[in-house]
Amino acid sequence: MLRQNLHRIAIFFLVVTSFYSCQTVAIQREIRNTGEISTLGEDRKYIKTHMHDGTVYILSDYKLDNQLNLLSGLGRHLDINRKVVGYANTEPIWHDVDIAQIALVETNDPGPSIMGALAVVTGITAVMAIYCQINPKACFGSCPTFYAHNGDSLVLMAEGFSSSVLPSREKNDIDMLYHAVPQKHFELKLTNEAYETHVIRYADLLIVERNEDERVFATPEGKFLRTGIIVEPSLCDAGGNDCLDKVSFADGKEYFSTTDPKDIITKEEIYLKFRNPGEGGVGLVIGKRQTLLTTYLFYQSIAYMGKSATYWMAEAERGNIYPETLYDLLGSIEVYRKSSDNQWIYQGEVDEHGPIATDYNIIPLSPGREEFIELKLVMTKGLWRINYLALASVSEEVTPLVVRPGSVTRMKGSDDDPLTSLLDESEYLVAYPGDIYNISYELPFVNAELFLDSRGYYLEWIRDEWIEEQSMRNVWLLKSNPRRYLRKAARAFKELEPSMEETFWNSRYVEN
Amino acid sequence: MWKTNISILLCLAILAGSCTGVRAPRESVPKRKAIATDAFGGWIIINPGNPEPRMGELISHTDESVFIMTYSGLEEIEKSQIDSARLIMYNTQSLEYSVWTTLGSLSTLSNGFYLGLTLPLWLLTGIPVSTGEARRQNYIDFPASGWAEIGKFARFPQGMPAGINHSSLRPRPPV
Repeated sequence: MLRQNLHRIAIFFLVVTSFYSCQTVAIQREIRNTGEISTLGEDRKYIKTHMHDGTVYILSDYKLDNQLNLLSGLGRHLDINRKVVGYANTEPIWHDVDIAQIALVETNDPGPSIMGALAVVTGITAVMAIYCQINPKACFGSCPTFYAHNGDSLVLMAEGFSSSVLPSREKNDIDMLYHAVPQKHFELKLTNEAYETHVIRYADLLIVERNEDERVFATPEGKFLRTGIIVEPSLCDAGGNDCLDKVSFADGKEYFSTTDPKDIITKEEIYLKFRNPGEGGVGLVIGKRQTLLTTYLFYQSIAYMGKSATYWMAEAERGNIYPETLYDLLGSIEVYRKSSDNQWIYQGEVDEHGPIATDYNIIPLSPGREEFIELKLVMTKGLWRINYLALASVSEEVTPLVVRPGSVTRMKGSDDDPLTSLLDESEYLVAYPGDIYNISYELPFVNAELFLDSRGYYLEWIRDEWIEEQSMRNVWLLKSNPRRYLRKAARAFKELEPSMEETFWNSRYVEN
Repeated sequence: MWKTNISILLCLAILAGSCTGVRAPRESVPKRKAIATDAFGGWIIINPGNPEPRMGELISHTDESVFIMTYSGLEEIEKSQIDSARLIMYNTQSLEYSVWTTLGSLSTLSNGFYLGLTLPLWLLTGIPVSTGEARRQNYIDFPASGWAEIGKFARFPQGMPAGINHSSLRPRPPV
């Protein structure tokens, strides 16, 4: 994408430059004799008076006194070798020049300066550099991103295998395309918008036929449940704050909190109350994404590894260290249901890596006949952004149909045969920063719920700014005592936290 | 990919090309902005027809002769012997702008994905500015222009002042 733009813009430069190059700007020097002094342009800042004896006055703020026959101004009187005449002080002084002694007067218009444009661009670059230098862990960063049409426009709807940061961590990831509008000929736009190498084994669609009043959600374990009635919460209490407005609808509003500066794994609880939608099974639908906390921790860890990052990555690849430990400590979103005897009973948990796209899951709840169902979510403070919470009646478990790509159009990228790369299980589609592929699917029916099932891994590119933070001491702390490492990281993250989300989104390079 | 590389090479070639242009020896003429307050003559290169071109600061001219301050002192050259001449009023800052643009473009590497915005911005701005600066008309030629026009840029546009001891004239100190 970047290289494509560069090419286009370069052509534009050539055209602009060729026009600009044809322009010339000449110095305008006016020479007048004393009788014509009054005809000189008044907009000139300086005037030179060439005297009969070869000396010259260079004056500013000059004025002509016709009665006294004087040309007066602030400036310097220079001799024939252009040294200041008569006094050692070279500061400008007031001069009254006898016009009779003047041979010629001269003014100059040096033409417009074109340096200002460079100064402006320098300023912009500096601002960008400072912006990213201050907060490099928030700049860039994404996973394979998938865009789908929502009936109005192409929107970012899923990010693939966000936690698969090494070949050995390759795994599949199922993302609900909640807002996608299915069409017979359905298209996904796959992009790489980060300094990463994306290695994609496949990107299939999982589809389930459904009626308009039904939705199908996936459980964290990979089961697919058909749902009927969906009710929004009647109560949402997050630490005494009402969060109903944030979580009642699958819109852009999100509930999120900030991390505890003393302990980054401090938990918070959200209390929910729903009217029971029916007698059958029910499940809690959760639409969520992560904040940039995990992104920060991942980038910061690589930064501490510095130039030895590849060594540590290889160690992780060989299984000698376990980068997942940090994420294990951070935990997932746990769901508890209040029993009739006021006990909180664990129902399940959901964990979805990635800060980019909201994913939707359902946690089946244990049976119960209460009119109101009270739930509690327990999760790490500052780790999650909750977009949607709803209670759905579950009618049945369904098995989705797998739809493989029918064709792939390479918009920008180096894979000559991307379709084969996605279809052949022994091959990968490798995407580099800026690459774009449009993947087409032929759907057997359009009244469908769509899920993306992608598998692969990605390799993060090391940024120069990160290497400067190399610290083996912190790497050893991460390896030997991740709990303490997180406590230490909490303080640093807290300083960046307020601006991280904004910085992250502003620093993406997206072409839609 | 190859198209991108060629495009970037073309841009860099233009940028490099913008460093050229008509230039007088270093410190022999002022910068453009200082020309209104500089009281020396412009740098003139005279081709008198004999093997050696003469060059130096234009001091003055008369109907018959041109006076220039060469590295070896004041010289008088008869106009009748001059085939062509070029007077350079000032040196452009195209070299500085080219270096500025190049360094600025490189500095966008620190902008991460903003590079997609700032690098084109640098090239889009820097190349025209550098090229435009290099193309400024900072010289005039004889015989395309007459001596009256060229003479405006002499140290003594009024002509050699009467009573001046020629040996007392000194060259311009370094700018």
